[in-house]
Amino acid sequence: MKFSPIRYLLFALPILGLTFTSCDEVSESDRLIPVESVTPARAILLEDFTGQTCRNCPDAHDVIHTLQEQYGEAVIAVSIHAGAFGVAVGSADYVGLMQPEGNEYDARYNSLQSWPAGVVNRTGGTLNHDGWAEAVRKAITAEPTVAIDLEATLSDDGKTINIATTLRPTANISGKLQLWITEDGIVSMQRNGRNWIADYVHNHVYRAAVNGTWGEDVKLTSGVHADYNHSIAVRDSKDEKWDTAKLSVIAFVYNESEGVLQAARVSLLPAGNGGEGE
Amino acid sequence: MKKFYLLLAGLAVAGMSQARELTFWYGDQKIEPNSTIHFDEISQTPAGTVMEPELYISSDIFTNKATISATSTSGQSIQMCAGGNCEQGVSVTKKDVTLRANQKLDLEFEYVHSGTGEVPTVIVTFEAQDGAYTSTNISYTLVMNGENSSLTLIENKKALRYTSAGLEYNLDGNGVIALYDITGRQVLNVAAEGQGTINTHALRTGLYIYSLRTDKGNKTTGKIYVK
Repeated sequence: MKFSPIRYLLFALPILGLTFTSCDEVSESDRLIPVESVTPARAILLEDFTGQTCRNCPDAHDVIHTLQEQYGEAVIAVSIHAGAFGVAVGSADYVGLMQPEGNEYDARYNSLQSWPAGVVNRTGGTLNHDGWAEAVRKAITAEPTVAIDLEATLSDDGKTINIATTLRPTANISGKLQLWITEDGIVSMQRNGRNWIADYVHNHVYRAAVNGTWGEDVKLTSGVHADYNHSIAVRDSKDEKWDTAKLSVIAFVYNESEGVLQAARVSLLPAGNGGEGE
Repeated sequence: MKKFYLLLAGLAVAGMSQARELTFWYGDQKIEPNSTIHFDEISQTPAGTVMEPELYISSDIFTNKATISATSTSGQSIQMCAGGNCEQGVSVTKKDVTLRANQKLDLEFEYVHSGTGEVPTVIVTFEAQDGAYTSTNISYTLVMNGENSSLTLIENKKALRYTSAGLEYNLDGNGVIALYDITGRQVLNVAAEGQGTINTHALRTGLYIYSLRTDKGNKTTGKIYVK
């Protein structure tokens, strides 16, 4: 029979095609892609849903640390202990860090219902911690439509935190103002892989909402400043004892359609010190 | 030219015939598909009493589409992370898991028994499949028996319990002990008094339901796993 290249081609090409489709697909997150550095235009809020019995959660804490080293105060992280791996305050013979509101935030924003998981600026859905860097990078360059001045001082008797907030919008905004208390340097138990670390240092831990679980409504007019004053009692009980030297106040403005528009954090200062807004 | 095209076709077929095989591991031991393995160790942790066997999975080639599931057929809540986020529930499924060629991935699986009370027998079925390739589907059953654990945490004064010696009973008076297999067929029915051990070596390995009636009118039922 006369050799016919067409016949062989018709035989080989489909098989070749099948071969290429059987090659492994390497997802975008597994490839090495160089990225340019960015300059933050605003602060962003990273809510880290975590738990003390969650063996892989320390990996997420490391990601936060790396992001804060890279972007400084532009990344405002809050570790919200919640869900199946959280340890409720007062429920164990070590310091538990899960607050009731933590589970409310987890129920609303942690659509993965797995831990660790995070949300950046309450937009873009719930992300595994290996997706946080990209989400932060995208969110941090957006021009803000509101600036936040924040001051927090401790009363003379050390029992009350007084908070002064000024919002300076550059657009008309309908949304909510949320104020939280967070604490750094809490030494307590944490699962890490197969190990249990009794003296793990927990940072940026969500402690309380100052103005309600979901904040208060605000309606801002472009160019018009709005001032707010709040206070919250320092918790000092057997099950929950705040260290006022390690507390911070977080303020953020958000709405359902745009997520978090701007965030700010300030360390709690002793009475008699002028606080520095951010 | 003819040889060139033949070579091309041959290479194409060879490329398609690359093996896809998933393997479950218990430590360094391969787990045979559809087998049952047993784990009896418990440990005390800050989260409670834990049964945490060292379970792994591997693939002979790279994949990022592996699906791994663990289902507690005995109804307890279990935990699995498999290199990523950790989940808890009676059934846990991890999708799009990345497995590097011939590298074992720790399933990071455990059962946590919080609070007091005896540690139950936990039976879990594991399944895995690489993407849409149904030929890679593998499964096995894990039986974790906290009752027969090597570390006793709670004083066990149960009237009936299974040990390697057999079915040990501790009755206050007289009673009748019956044992049924999972189909409901009675396999044992003996009168007993005080303390003793019933030989169960003739019984096949598996789950049994026991019934104990005492002369005081008390009736107790439960499950044991005979090895």
